[in-house]
Amino acid sequence: MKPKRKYGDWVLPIGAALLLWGVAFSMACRLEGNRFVSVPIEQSFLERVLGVSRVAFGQTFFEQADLYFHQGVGYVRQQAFTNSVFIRAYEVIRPSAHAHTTGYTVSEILPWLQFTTRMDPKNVTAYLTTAYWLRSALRRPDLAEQVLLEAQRKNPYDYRVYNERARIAFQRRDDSRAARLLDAALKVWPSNEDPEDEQTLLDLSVILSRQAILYEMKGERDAALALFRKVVELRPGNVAVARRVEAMEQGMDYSHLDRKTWDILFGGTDKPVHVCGEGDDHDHDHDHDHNHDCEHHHHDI
Amino acid sequence: MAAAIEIKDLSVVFRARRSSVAALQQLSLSVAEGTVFGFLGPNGAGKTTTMHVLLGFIEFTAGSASIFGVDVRESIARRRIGYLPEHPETYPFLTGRELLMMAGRLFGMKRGALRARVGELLREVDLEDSADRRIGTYSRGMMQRIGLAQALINDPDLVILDEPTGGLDPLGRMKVREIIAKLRAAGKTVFFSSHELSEVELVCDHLAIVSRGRVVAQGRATELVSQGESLEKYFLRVIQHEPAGRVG
Amino acid sequence: MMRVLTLSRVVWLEMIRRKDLYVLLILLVTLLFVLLSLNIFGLGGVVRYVADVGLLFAWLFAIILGVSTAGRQLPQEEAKRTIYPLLAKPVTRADVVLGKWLGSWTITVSCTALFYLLVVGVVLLRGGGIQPVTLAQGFVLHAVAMGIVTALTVAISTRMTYGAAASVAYILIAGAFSIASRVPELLVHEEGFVARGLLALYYGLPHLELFDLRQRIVHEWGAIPCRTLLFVAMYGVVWVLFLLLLAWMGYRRKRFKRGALG
Repeated sequence: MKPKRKYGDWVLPIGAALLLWGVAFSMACRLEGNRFVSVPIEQSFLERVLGVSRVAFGQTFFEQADLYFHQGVGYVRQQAFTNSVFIRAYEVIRPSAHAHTTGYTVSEILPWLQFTTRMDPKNVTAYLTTAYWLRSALRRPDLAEQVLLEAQRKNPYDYRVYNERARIAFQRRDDSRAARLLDAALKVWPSNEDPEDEQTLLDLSVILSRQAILYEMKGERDAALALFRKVVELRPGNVAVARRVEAMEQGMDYSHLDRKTWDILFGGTDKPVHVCGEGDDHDHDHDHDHNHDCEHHHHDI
Repeated sequence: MAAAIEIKDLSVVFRARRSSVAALQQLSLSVAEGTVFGFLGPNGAGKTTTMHVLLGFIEFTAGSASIFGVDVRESIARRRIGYLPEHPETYPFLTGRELLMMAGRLFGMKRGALRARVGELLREVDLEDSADRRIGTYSRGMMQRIGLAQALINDPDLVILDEPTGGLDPLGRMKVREIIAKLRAAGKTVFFSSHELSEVELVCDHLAIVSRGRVVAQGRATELVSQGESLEKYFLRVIQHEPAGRVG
Repeated sequence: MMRVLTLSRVVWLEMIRRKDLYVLLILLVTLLFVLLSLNIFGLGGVVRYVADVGLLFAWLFAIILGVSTAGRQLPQEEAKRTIYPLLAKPVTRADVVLGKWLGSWTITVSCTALFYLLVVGVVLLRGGGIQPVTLAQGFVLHAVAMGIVTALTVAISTRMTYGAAASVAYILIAGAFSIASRVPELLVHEEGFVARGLLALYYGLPHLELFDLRQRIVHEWGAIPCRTLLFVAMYGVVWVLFLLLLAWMGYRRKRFKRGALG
């Protein structure tokens, strides 16, 4: 009588090979730790086992989220030849139009973003992206706030988290908290980023602009003007803010603008947002993109 | 009497990287229909190689071999053969009944007739009670018996048995002898090799002794072995008189 | 044909009684259960990742099952010496190769169908949906791809032990998926000997990426044109026939080793 086999004769070897590969990969990825960490951060079991190799996993999941956002359409790379029958067949098979996930379907990318943050809590971009989609397409600022709180716990010195939390606080009409969060963002800027980097400077200008807006809303024009001037210094190409400074220097007072307009201004885009001025024709067309809510504002100045 | 097996000047040379081995050297053999033929020889003499040639497992280098007049290289030659290998391994996950059904289906037997035949064989080899157990749970003797049963599934005219009593207890060997006797009585031809010369003596009509790839003695058992001499003594005499020397 | 079907039935019985495929089923169920239990911010109807990961593992497990089943058949027959009583019957070596392949392929496809059913069931349970026509197309092409995988493994196993055959098969399949499809991109920066090697891989390996409709299924891009489906399926069938021919050529004159059980 032959003894019964306990396992299929491939399960153990494949399992052992996978385990050894995982260990080797984790050990090969052991790099210097995060230089910014001065406060010991609690690490999960997964973080301790995988070490820095989890960054690679996190990046893979983030790319998957990007793929989902583009509805399964991957990047088109340069090819040495395209006249192969296989390429032509594959072009028909793979999804290939440029498309974005919209509406509630955006929720489909969230699992991958969640996996990214689980795997690599230092990936602040993943947290911000998650919060952005929760807040905007899914209209759940409460969930966005939760995500950002987690991001803050894992990355207490990253200005981007405070900045984004400030936007949510402002949208929820908690201006004092927004102000505190912007102060915190300013304190820890530039965090781990290069202070000369264009994006980092842009973020700084957004923080300062938002602080300026809060001052303007309270009627503190001088403080607001000083901050707007700093923004213009940082980014001379910012036409909207430059015009704003000019207008304020000429005595223009925007404190009477309605909340909706402040929300748009606080939103933090670089697109020039048209605000009706003294000389404007009230029947004029607003300059906007096709997604803009076409609400004509009458402002008595 | 027509020949069930006809082998003429059969040669088989196995070529390795740096040498070649002549497993069979111009071996000639004739087995008449309806006889029980013992094929004897020391280890490495070429018995199993001869059987493998007859069964089409290996190709021969020269000569000819046929079964009931059909060249052994044709798969149709195997329609009338039943074969029990030396170590009858089989599929441990099949039951005895499933193995016999599979064997019968490979011969193209129809389901109804096959079921009846399977039942008959299971009774004959005393495995009726264990027919629906997995072969992996069978003892050595049971494996041998189920192997014999699958060799007989198609009611073959020629049964080739390689060491049919190997590893069997006396009861098991008696059973095998009974089956061979039944086959002879039914007019079948049995061609088997064995080291159990006492068993061969009891059942064989004809025998051939092969040594170093060639037949060194062949004929009726009663004619080859002298009065008062055992087959074993005759065998040793013949083998020991063979000239020594490396084959190949 | 009866002999081929009989031999393929033996493969089925072996796989059902070996329990390997139950391990894979349990693994897939466990994985899907884990995915189901994930709370994505309490939002309902988030299912694409379940379908995506589920179908990915359906592919992986199908390949594992196909290679392990197909790679084991011929070497096992030889090692256990069951090949002798088999070939002693009016069974040709072509019958043996074809029967073993057919059994391996059909059981792999059947298990793949089960995997697909599980994934679809879980997606529906979570409130999502899957386009049935695209799914059916995806399954058909997946089945053809498994035909290639099993035929390739059988062909390799005619001349190697199970372990070696499975290893080589996995390497070739991984190469077909990950390298062969990307050769046009890689060739942009390569030349000379490396470029020629890559081109040899491009034309020498089967293009398994053509059989993978997962992105279309998951992201609801709809069915592919019938003409394309037919072309890819025929391409797969040609590969299967070619590999089975190679297998037969490798097996028909093979001398089996005698001696201790392997």
